[in-house]
Amino acid sequence: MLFFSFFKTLVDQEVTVELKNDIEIKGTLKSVDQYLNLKIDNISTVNEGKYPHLKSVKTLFIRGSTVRYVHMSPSSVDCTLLQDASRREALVQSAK
Amino acid sequence: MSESPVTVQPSQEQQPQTKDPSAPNVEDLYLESYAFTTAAAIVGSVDRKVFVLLRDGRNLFGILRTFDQFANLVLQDVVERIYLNDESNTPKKFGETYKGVFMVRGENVVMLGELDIDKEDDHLYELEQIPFEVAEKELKIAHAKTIKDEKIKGKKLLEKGLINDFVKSDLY
Amino acid sequence: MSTLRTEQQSQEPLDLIRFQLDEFVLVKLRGAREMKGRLQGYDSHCNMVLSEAQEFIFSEKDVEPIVKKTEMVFVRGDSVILVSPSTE
Repeated sequence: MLFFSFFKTLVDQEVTVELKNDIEIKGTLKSVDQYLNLKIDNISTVNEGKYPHLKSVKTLFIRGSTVRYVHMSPSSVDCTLLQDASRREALVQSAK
Repeated sequence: MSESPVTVQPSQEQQPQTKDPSAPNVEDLYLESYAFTTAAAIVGSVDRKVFVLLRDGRNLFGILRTFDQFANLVLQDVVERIYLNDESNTPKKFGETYKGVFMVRGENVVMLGELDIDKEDDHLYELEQIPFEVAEKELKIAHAKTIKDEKIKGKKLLEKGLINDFVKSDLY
Repeated sequence: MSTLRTEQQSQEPLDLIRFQLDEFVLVKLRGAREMKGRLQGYDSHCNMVLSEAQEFIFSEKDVEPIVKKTEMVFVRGDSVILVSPSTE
């Protein structure tokens, strides 16, 4: 659940999602769910003419399983908090 | 898990067909009680024109009628469109055909986008339309080539200790 | 070797990743890729967040890998093959 919470803190921030088929989609993160499916608004494709109809797409739902990376601005991440949360999550996981 | 997916039942929300203008917007109600669920992410696109990209590379265009927490979808008046790219990977031609009602299993969905119906056909003017059957044949050849190329590439990379597992069903 | 178990002793594989928090790691990925960066967060699926990262995309030909820099990136765990401590 750590990264679910993490992505919730990134809502309304600009992100670039790179899918496993190499296409990159830039836009505003609008929503995330427990599977890390993402909903992105105001999208623009970075490097691909492969899906020309994306130009007419307003809001895009991306299935978490097809995501390779999500790039974000360093200023939107509290690194200390994330590290601590990771340690805490590890503790919870090992207690299971 | 705090939000049990079982409690999310989008189909119930869609039943009132007569619109009461004073009733709160379904989408708003949803977002309030189930923010950050799959349902909340897709509910806004219900009864709207969407496109769905499947893992096998198929592009479906249709009206989203219902869905569930796995992103299983029911689409109405589906049109399947095939884009054919040239060597530089830019689309040059397309073919399309009417398919009717589709129920799509969530695991096959790559992405789902809500279309701006004023702009959705704009990019087609630059492309040449060909019969769907012809497009289908050309796509089959292109896919066979991709599969062959990826296999060779995968083998070469493996020799270098690099894993590039290509799955035949993933052609998106 | 001591048989005493202290809290610091590693008990499971993911503990190695925990010790690398705020350190540079090399992550080998599917798709003939590697990512080097400072580990900021991870979970049990090996999802992770790296900062000051460099991505290396290898090709089947005998050429240098493509290097892409990224300031802050989330890597989905299902692509991860291995994680190793890295210098730099």
